[in-house]
Amino acid sequence: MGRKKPSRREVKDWLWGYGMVAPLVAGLAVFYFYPFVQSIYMSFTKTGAFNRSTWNGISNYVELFGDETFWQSLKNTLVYVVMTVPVGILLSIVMAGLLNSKIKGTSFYRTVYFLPSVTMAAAISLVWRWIYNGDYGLLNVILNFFGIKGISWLTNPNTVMIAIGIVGIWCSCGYNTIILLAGLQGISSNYYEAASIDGAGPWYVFWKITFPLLSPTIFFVMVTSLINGLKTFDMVYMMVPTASPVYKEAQTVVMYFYRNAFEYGNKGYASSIAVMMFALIMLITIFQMRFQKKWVIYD
Amino acid sequence: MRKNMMRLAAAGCCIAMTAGLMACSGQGSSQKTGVEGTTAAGSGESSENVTLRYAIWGASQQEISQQLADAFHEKYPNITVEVEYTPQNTGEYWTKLESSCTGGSAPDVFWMNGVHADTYMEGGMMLPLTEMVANSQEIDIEKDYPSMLSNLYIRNGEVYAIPKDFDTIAVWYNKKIFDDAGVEYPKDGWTWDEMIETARKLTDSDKGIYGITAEFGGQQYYYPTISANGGFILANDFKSSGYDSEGTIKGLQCWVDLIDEGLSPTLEQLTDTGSNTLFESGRLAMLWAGSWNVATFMKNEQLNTVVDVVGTPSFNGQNGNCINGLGIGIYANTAHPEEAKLFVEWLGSKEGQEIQGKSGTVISARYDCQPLFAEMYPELNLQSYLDQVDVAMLYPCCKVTNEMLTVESDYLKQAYMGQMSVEEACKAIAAEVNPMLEEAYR
Repeated sequence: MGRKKPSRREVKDWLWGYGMVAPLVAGLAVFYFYPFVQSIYMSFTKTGAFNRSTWNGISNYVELFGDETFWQSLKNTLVYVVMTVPVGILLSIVMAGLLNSKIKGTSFYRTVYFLPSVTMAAAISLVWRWIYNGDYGLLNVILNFFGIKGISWLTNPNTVMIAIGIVGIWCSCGYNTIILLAGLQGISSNYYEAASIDGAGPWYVFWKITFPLLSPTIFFVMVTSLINGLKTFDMVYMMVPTASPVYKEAQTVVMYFYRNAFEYGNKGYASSIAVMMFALIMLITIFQMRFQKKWVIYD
Repeated sequence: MRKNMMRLAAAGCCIAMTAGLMACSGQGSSQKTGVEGTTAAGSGESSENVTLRYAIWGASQQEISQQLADAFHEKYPNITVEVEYTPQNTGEYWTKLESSCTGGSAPDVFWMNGVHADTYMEGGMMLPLTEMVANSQEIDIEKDYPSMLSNLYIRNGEVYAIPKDFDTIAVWYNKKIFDDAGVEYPKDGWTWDEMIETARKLTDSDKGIYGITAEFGGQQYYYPTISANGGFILANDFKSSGYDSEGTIKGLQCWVDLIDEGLSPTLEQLTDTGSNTLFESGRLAMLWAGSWNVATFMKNEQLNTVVDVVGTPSFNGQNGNCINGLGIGIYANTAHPEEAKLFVEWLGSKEGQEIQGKSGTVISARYDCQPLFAEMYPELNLQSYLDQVDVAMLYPCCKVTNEMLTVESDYLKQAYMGQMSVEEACKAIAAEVNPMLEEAYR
């Protein structure tokens, strides 16, 4: 079958289409794709001050594989992700379910839950640092009231990641809830009516109707939360200063990247960290895309 | 249709978000290194109107920097100076300066310190001022400034920056806590043991009051004690370190002992609530603090009537201190080198240094203007900041300062936490740092 010559009208439509997306594509090209390619290039160079770089092949990667601090920071990041993503999503589903019910003042609650998402991470971190303070923190004051002696949450290697994880969940829950709520509201009430006529219980309704129909939204939330978790930087950076005794136990990969790029001026090595991180996120995401066939249902 | 939409959305998000991560690392690399217009103005025709950009990082010095810029403008009405402030404590100043130097849009005149000087001088980013200094009526770099400070910016006989100010360390104390406990105020010439004895009397755990803190920090805490004990961080030729020298170990051990005895809060506690916060809220009797804190403490109304300053205590009759200074340099590719030189020369002249010294924010680098610092608050014994200049060690500055200080902090943290002895930590630091220095100064 030969290709049909497009009509003038079709060509005009195409031009309009390309014209409309051109600004976005140009923006992405300048601010994402070019730096992206440049980062990959830089990861094979040794950079000195003022971006004077020399090619040094794969030695950045060789160094990276033997770099204990990098592996430790990767471990910290994964621990953070494993801790926050499942709990965060579960909580968000519950909250979305509650917000979806017909009670008074739902829009007030929606705003309240969404507030952490529009607050600066720096401000959130400062407030939580004070809450977690071992001597004068609000949390320990409350614990003391119940006769429990609190510890210094952010400087104890056993609690630092949990403490930060709780803030992470608190921050991201609102955003996820709003997305999930939109998903819930997209489910036609016909299904529920039919189910209630058939006498289905709430648990059965959730697993057979709500969950499958919500699964594309849950999938979306999961993918974005995972990526955000792997990219965690600002909150940990603000809550755990470099002089902290648990800096090593809390440093995330992006923090280590930042330190190399902007504190040690070692942009080549930092780029190789970024490329590794990109590869890891890519792999996890591909796996998720494959695995979604097993549980995500598109109507 | 919806199925595809969701898939697309998910895939799009992945790409956008991961690309966002990558985008950080590419910053600055997209800028061109070419610089235009280096020949435009510099021929000494100072009658045309010129605007100079002057980059600084001291938050408490924004006001005085503007006053200096205004005073200079009055003297040279055709030159306007715009002060550009960028904070440095989390590194923004240096990130910004480096990328603007790379991109060719750096400020004409900027602050420089010893830690970064090598990078900028070797990178050819600083205009040599040797000729200007040699012909200057206002500046005699050898006689007017402590050589320790001017040498930071002199390489192979070329002068790259003029010292601006410096800072040293002294001990602040809260007279109210002393009075409440009925303890005598410390006097200049006191010893470390006397300080510990005083701290023991002042510590009151029921009230949550500490006598002293062993905060984890070099410049304001263990560098002065290392220097008093005859230790050192960098050898004179920079090819090796003195971390494992006896004096260095002693200068660190004395702080760890304070924590072990319970006189100081632990490293964990001090990470949550820093020494300055404790002192400013009246919970700490004695605080080791740099001269740059004066303005902050004297603005605190609960504090400024009950504090005074005393020199750091001695060890076996020896005093020690840590001195760190900054200088003012000119961007090599500035469009207005002559005007920039005029400004830098004026800032380094007696007139400029006097205005700065009278503001009480910093100690002016010039010998003849240093005493002005002590005169700003006559009720305080600020002279103690100036008395130990001669015995002070220079804040460690070398080509690998950042890497070196990271190793230092990694091991010393463990010593402060009691996970290893000070001696073990010092030996481990030396073992890692010495090869770095050898490599850098080969």
